Amino acid sequence: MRLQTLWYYLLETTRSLRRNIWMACASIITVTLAMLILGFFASLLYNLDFMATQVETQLEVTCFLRDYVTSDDLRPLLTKILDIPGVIKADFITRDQALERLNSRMGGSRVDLLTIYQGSDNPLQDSYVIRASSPEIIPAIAASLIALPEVDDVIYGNNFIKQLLSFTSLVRISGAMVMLGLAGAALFIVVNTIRLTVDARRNEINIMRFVGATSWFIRVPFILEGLLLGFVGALVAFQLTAWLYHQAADYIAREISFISMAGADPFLGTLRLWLFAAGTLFGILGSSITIGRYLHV
Amino acid sequence: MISFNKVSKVFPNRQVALQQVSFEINKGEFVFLVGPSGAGKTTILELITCEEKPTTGMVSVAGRVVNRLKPSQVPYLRRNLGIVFQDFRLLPQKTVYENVAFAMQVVEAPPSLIRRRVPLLLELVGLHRKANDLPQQLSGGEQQRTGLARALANDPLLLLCDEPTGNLDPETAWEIMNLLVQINNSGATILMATHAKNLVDRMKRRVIAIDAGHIVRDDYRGGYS
Repeated sequence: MRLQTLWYYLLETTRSLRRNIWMACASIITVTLAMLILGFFASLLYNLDFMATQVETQLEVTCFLRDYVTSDDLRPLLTKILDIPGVIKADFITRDQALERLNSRMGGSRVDLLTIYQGSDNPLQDSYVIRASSPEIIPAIAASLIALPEVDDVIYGNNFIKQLLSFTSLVRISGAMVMLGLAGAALFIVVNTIRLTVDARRNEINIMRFVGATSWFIRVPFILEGLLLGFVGALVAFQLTAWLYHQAADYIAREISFISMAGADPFLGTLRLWLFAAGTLFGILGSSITIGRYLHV
Repeated sequence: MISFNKVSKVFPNRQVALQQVSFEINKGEFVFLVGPSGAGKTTILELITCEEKPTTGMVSVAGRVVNRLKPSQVPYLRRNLGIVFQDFRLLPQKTVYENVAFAMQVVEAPPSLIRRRVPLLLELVGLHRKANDLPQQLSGGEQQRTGLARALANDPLLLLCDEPTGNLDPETAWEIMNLLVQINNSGATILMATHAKNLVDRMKRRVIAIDAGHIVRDDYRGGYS
């Protein structure tokens, strides 16, 4: 490609953008919005996966004891628990200790649980926190524990993971639906922006055709325009997503100490590539649709 | 240069534009294409420029059979053609120089060639002093001369003129005709569709008369009717 041709493409593209500056802004905003939603759902899904992995690696099972279990029952119960295959350790947690733990986990919150649920008002139960030798054996340990008469309930990561996974798939489906709608809107706006350019340049395009310009020579400035709209939209969306991600991570670390978000690195690096790819693809697709429908070269 | 062999053209709305039309135009000829509106003159020009394809028959232009051209080859055929329109079709935001240079830029002619050739073309059509004027600052005749310079920009073998004097007063029309004769004398083939009876009668060139899609007359050194 000649340097002058490249120059011509750049000149025509910027001229078109200037000519329809408001439509170009509308396109960029719509693409930004679509990419922002994509970034939001990607961040949410990434963190849900991160949480699931975190929980999976925890080898703890907690069994809650019935109210009638007294301190005399604890020793024989501990022996029964330690006899279950795969159990390597069992720590007794009193309901008061549990309340203290909960209170310290919610350390940043404004309510002091200890003063509200003192003594017999404490709704928590005594429990054993059991350490398993491997994650695969946890369901079997849980089944053995629930069979004990002193045990009221058993919780372990797998239940949470199941709930987490079903929530993740719900987020994935709703995210895809929202994205589909927004992608349609973004495409519609990009198509119409490029169409305005095509209409404004119809005479010029006719002359180009009659003097023998190739169809690609005529098409490239429109494709570049679409690409640029998509790229700028993705760029703005990424900067916003990155900023919001850091803000959310800081807030959660400060206010909700028992949840932690996945680190920004390498997630944001990968997200940047995906957003840029999706944004430019939107732009190119939008301009290609316009060229196919309105340009006829 | 141009060959039509039993060419018919029927549009999708079943309107028959041409029926079994055959003629040949040789290199260096100056030919008038005359006939009433709707006779088929524009269709003949559109077949030559590959805007349309014949329904039956064979059209050949500058040694290429138009029927067999792939869409990607059409621009390269068009680079052998210069087209002059009745309504000039100049780009209003470009100067006279830029309008002519534009035709060369879009076929990716080297900038040095553009800088050399455009002033020569403007001199040929007598507009070298108006190179920096915009089309709206020009008279009708000057606008058509700009259109003519643009049509000649890529040194075409064949100049197609669609009613080039239709929007001009008689005196200006003669100016344009003189230019066309000059261009023809330098070797270019010219096919001109026109309704201008007095021009055709005075020029005494070959006349192909068409009516209702048929060639009704093909006279060397003929008149309008």
